[in-house]
Amino acid sequence: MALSRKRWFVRFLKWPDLVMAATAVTALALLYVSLWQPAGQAAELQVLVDNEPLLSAPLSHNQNFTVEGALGLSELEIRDGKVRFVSSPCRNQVCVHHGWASHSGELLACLPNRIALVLEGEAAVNDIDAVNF
Amino acid sequence: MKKVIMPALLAVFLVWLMFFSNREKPAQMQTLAMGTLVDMTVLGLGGQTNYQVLQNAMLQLRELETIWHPDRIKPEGQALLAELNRRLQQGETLTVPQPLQQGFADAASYTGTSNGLFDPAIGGLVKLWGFHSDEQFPSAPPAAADIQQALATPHFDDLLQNQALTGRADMRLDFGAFAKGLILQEVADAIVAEYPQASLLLNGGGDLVAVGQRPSRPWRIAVRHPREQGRYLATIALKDGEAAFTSGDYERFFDSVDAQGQAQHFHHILDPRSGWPAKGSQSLTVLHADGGLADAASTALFVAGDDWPSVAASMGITAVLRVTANGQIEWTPEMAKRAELSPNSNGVKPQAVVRAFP
Repeated sequence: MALSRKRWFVRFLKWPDLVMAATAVTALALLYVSLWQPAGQAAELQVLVDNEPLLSAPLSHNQNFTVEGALGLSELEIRDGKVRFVSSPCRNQVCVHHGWASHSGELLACLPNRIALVLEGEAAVNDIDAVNF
Repeated sequence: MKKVIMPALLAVFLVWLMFFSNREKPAQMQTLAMGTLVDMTVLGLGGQTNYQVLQNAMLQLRELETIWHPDRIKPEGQALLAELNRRLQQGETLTVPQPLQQGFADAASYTGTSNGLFDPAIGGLVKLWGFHSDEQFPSAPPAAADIQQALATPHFDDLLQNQALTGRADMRLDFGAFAKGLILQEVADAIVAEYPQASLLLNGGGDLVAVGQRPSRPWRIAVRHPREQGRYLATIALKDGEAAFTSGDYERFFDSVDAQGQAQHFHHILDPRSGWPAKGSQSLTVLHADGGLADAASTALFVAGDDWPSVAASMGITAVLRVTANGQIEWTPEMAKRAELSPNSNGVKPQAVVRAFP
């Protein structure tokens, strides 16, 4: 009864099972590496003026810049992967009150000044497609 | 040798999954419309068709926006609601133009089921407060006497009789709490009628209509936290054909002082009973298969305050997420199953109260 002295799992496992398990583990590791990224963090800012793309900027580089819209100059600030309207010539200040945006799929706009900010990033498995507000 | 086939197939499948499952780039288009930024995403039809569909959707969006704008009579002959409003203010009795009829009938029905908490007939009040304008909010609330006077208009479901309306000088129909949902739904329905296999996510200034899903997973959305900027309240996976609408006190507002000299936050969601911004909620989110109903219901339930479960029941709404004025999170049993609350700034998951229906 030499066989029975082997551990129980060795009796049921054949070498193809091991190949399968190894493949699954490797594939899982590869999937993780290829798809993982911090949830929903946007990488790039796109600025539209009057529905036309004006410029793109990486969110990795801290900077302030001014964009000319229909009413006048709006000041934008990029800091630590986030963006906001610092000031805008609109009266209602909805854009400034909105504050920081940092997730891909988020949208920020100053309607009166016809400026729209679109945050873009790579789509990941757990990414957010849109923010509801 | 046979034994190698299964593992080999599995390996091939996993490699295929890696390279192709997440690779379709959705077509996306942004435009300023309906007083907000509209962002439309389409996929599942192949690159060229996706863009074609977006182009058509944008034209339809513009057309519907013109039809439903309460005041802007431009272009002449197409601004149906604005022209209707102008003639009603001159006291005429009119039949509702055909393109508006379904929306009017639905809105009247929601005015009834919400007990007047959603009411397109308060357009005069909205204008008095100045929230109808994208250009200029007021700097102070209107006089109390003027508010009382604006409240004298009848409810919309009493005004609309057999698709006809009798005008009065103070009448201004404003579908601001409904038209966005109706329009996004109509645009989505038109795309699906032509391309049943299309997946789309229509985002009208944070209000969403979803159809289908991404190749590998449902559309996933996050609900904005009403007080903590840049944070989420919760994340939700939307079902095929589902709309998510949120009413919040943080978006359109102005700060001023009240009659007692106290600093106050005046937001745009007006309570038709008092004529003042609704108290009791910071934000309220509704999920429903019909965008128009989801839009109207998010407003009505926000206005309802603590009584929202009875209004939800009467409007046929089962998925609700609310943040009360003091920050307590409430939800319905269905929403508790669907939504995942996000951790707060201390990394702690907040506790939510399940509110049962009466």
